[in-house]
Amino acid sequence: MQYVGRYVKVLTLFVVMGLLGSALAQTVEVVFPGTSEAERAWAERALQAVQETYPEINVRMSYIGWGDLTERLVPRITAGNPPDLVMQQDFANFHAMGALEPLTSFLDEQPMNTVERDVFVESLLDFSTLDGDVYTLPVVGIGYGLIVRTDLLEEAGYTVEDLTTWESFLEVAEALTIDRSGDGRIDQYGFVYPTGHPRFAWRQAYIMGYSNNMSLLDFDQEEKYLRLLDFIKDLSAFVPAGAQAMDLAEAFNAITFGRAAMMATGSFYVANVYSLDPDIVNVSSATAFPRGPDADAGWVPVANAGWAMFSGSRNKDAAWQVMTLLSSQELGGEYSSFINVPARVDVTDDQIAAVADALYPEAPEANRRIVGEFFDAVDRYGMPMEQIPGREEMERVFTREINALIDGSKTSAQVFAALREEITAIQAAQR
Amino acid sequence: MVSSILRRVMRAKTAYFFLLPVLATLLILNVYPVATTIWLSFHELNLLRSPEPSWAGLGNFVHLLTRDGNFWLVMGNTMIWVIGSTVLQLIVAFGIAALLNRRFFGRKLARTLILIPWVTPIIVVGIAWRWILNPEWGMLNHYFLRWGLIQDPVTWLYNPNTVWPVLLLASVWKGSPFMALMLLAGLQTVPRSLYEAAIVDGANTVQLFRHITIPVMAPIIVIVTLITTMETWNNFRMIWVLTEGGPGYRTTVVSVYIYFRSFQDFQLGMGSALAVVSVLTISILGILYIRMRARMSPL
Repeated sequence: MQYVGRYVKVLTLFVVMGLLGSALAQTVEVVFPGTSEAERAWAERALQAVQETYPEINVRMSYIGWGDLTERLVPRITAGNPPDLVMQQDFANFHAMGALEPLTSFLDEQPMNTVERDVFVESLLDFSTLDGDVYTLPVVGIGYGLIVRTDLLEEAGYTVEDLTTWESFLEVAEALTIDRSGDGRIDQYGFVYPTGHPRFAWRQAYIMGYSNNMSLLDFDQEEKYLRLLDFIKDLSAFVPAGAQAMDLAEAFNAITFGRAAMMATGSFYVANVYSLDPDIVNVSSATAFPRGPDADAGWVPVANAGWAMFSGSRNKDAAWQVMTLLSSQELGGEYSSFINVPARVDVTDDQIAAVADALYPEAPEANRRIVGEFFDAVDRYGMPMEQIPGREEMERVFTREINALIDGSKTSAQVFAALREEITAIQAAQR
Repeated sequence: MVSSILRRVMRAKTAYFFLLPVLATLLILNVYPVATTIWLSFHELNLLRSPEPSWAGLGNFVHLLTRDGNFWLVMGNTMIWVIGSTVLQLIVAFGIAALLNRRFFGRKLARTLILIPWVTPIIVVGIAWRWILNPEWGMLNHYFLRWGLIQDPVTWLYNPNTVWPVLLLASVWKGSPFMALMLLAGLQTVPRSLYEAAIVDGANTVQLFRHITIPVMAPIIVIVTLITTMETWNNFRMIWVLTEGGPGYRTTVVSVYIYFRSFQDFQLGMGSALAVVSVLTISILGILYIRMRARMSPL
């Protein structure tokens, strides 16, 4: 019986110590949308680094894919139970909910772990800034431009340098639209514009619009907008009809397997095509999308993925310590190597190469070249993409209209009128 | 009055005690969500703007019926989807049931095999159909091109002229086996003596079908039609896997639109109003079916 009494005492002591310990330890919940093997491995190393640096902080990592992030987090935010940190690209919806903690005062008053304003690429930090406040610490820069299959381009007698304007781009796209097998059917197209998925129908057009120094929300610039729609219509002659059923992954397939020679995409290109065929990286080149007729130098859309803190975080100081460590030169630099363009200016080429060469062993040189090409385009023409609340709804409207334009059931003027009416109404509803 | 109810409850308290778990489950999982949805439909609640619902009266319904640019398109799509699926499934299923009702070698095996599309998970069916219909490397285009039936690859799921026929084809392929099974059970209840008497009176095959099979089967036809209508009305997954309601809203049916409004745009008030309209519409259809059934009398 006395053993039972002792056992109860020891157990009670453990429970009390456990409760005391958990009360003293600060828990920080981090939602990480990186779901690839390499990203998870990075997350494990990052967790270990946090535990070594801040043993008093207990970090809990949750993995949620990019596609489910908003859907899963909005109910938690509404219920007053948000996580502490999340990696974000377009944070407009969370900002509109008032769910994000402005990081400006943290950044200015408590710089730590080598995180301070000056270490970030300016245009990338601009993307993280809304109404004068910084809301995310950029980790990875995403530049959007044009990817070209140089082997197909050269075969047609052109070089990347020939792609300067929309006009020259259409000429090249036409030259690259070829019946290779001679059976009377086109089997290689100049360009692939995947309009099967709202997100990509919108984003590719956004890239093209930026190249003429306009946004897809610039309805007050009717002439410019109509020129963009006419350009997309003209371009559709050199796009496989099947692109109306494609999402981005299928567009990458089309490029890799020679179904199309060019596509508008982001600096995550290598990460997506390498597993399909590593050799494709060697015959791919990145450049800014050719400028439109109204632009002297077209803009290159720039976004980033970075760490945001929720205003409902219960341990803001601990969360700040964790997010700065995750964005540090060492950990942030390593993470940016997966996608290529680092958000920090102090991440060295060697640092990227050490990780990227291991990730892309069959095309290390070509990968580095493409990183450089995207970085150059961002550096010269980078313009932050807009943070657009309600973008998902706009994307669906845009996809419907752009497909109507491509299949000829509507004219550019009709599409413009419909977009102006419906997207303006969505914007009004979000205010 | 109250005391008599209490007396009755006390008399059967053991029975009520055992009913409690079921009642609690129904209240939590059915009554509460339905009541909340109805309540929300009269409120404006956009989670991206404010977590607090505000009274909107009939505002959401008025907006849907008069100002929402997609609502009538979506309702039209839903009608095409539901009526097309149900009618085509009924026709195909009747043919299958009639075939399986005859004696032939391997009938038992055929009755089992016919159920394969029905028991295959809908996500698998959807992905398989997406592959078949893929404009770039799909089997359908491959063979149609080879046989010279088409000159260029067709974007089956994105061409306005082909998208509904192929969606209905996939729906019929998936849904008709279940309907065929139900109709087969019905066919087996038709007394042979009726057919024999009619044949003696000189009735031909069409007359047998028109004046014996259909009237006797009428209750079952109404029931399976009702079940299929409701199931198709709420069938979110098939459309979602094949087209995600797109491009744009071209194949968006009401269940997909509820998802868009509620869980992509986070307009829960509007999404709830849509759900209420959806339930009311399907209820009206159900009542019409049941009334129709009441008017029918076998033979």
